[in-house]
Amino acid sequence: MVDSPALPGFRHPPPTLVVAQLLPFHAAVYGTLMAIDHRALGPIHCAVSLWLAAIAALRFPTLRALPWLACLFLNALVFPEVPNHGYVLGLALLAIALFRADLPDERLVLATGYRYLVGIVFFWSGVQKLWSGTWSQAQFLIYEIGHSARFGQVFAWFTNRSEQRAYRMGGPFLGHGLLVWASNFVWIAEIAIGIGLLLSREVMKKRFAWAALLLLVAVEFVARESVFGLLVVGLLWPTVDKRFSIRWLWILVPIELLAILGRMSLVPGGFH
Amino acid sequence: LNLVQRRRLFFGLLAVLACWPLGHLVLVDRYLVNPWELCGFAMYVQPNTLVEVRLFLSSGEVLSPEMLDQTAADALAEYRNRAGILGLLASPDELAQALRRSGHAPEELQIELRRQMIDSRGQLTYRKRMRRF
Repeated sequence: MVDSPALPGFRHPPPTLVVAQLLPFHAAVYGTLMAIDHRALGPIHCAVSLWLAAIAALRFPTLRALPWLACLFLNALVFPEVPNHGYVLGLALLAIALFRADLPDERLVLATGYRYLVGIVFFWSGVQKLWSGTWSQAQFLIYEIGHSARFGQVFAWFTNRSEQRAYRMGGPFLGHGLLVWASNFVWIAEIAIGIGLLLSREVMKKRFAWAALLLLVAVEFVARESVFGLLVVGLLWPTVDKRFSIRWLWILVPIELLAILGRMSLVPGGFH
Repeated sequence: LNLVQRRRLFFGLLAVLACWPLGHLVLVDRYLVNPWELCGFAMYVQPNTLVEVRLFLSSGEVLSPEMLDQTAADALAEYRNRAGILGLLASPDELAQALRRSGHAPEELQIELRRQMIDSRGQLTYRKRMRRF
């Protein structure tokens, strides 16, 4: 393959190509967060390697397997303390290593693979909530309102003070009204969107991808997990196929910085 | 590898990923693996709390943390961290060695893990699993 500079000749480059070039940098942020968590030489070396690999893969596309290798090594090093998005990120980087985003045929395979990847995550996330039985009466949400500042800030206004006091103690953790409705909506939407992303036809794929992004925004409003959030946005962007100037991508820099500062406990309320 | 082979490889891995949460459900139930961990996509279904560890000697006697010296207590804390993710799949070898070095010499060690969970009635319960090593 001829090495080519980033995004040659495109005013509004294909999203899959942009994602293939930017995802390694997101992986480098992930590596930085893991290094902050573990504070050991191994993860720190891996984080530095991820940054260098991302720069090398951007400059020389033939080296696009390097970010995947560095991420694989990091995950193996910190296993079993690998967050779920660490595995998803590893697979997404493997796809970049396997398929050339500068070739239209392979770009299509990459976009399909990414859509399936998000479909699997959404589908199982919904099924696990259904299977656990802790979302049918908002049991989990109620527990977290009493025990987590993030959930408390968003959902506390659904409950009165005496209920909040009970939720901080031993329960019972049973919701009512809008909370039960919202709780059931989440897992039903996750399963429906997951199936839609995996099975739907051309026209509907894009709608399910938009639905997934809307649900993601709502979920991240509470969860504040930018590493997972940006990863899913990146994986769905090729399906949504919305093209715009790459100058807008500078907005990612403060979000990634916020994630790093959040991991260093420098963001009030938490952000990771 | 040509495109067809690469495609088969990647989508084969996706198929494995799509089936893995079934195995994850079994690991959570049987070995008390943390639902939040190991790529089962079961985050936010149960509180992400630490596990409690109880050690039983072959005589049936409970080995309380107060009976342990510093080395064994550190090994227990390390085991508890790993069991917090892996449940009973976490290897107790280092813990057993530390116990042996500190004179407890367990010929047979039984480990009981307790993980706090919410049931469908909204009650906090402890799910317990025990394994003999």
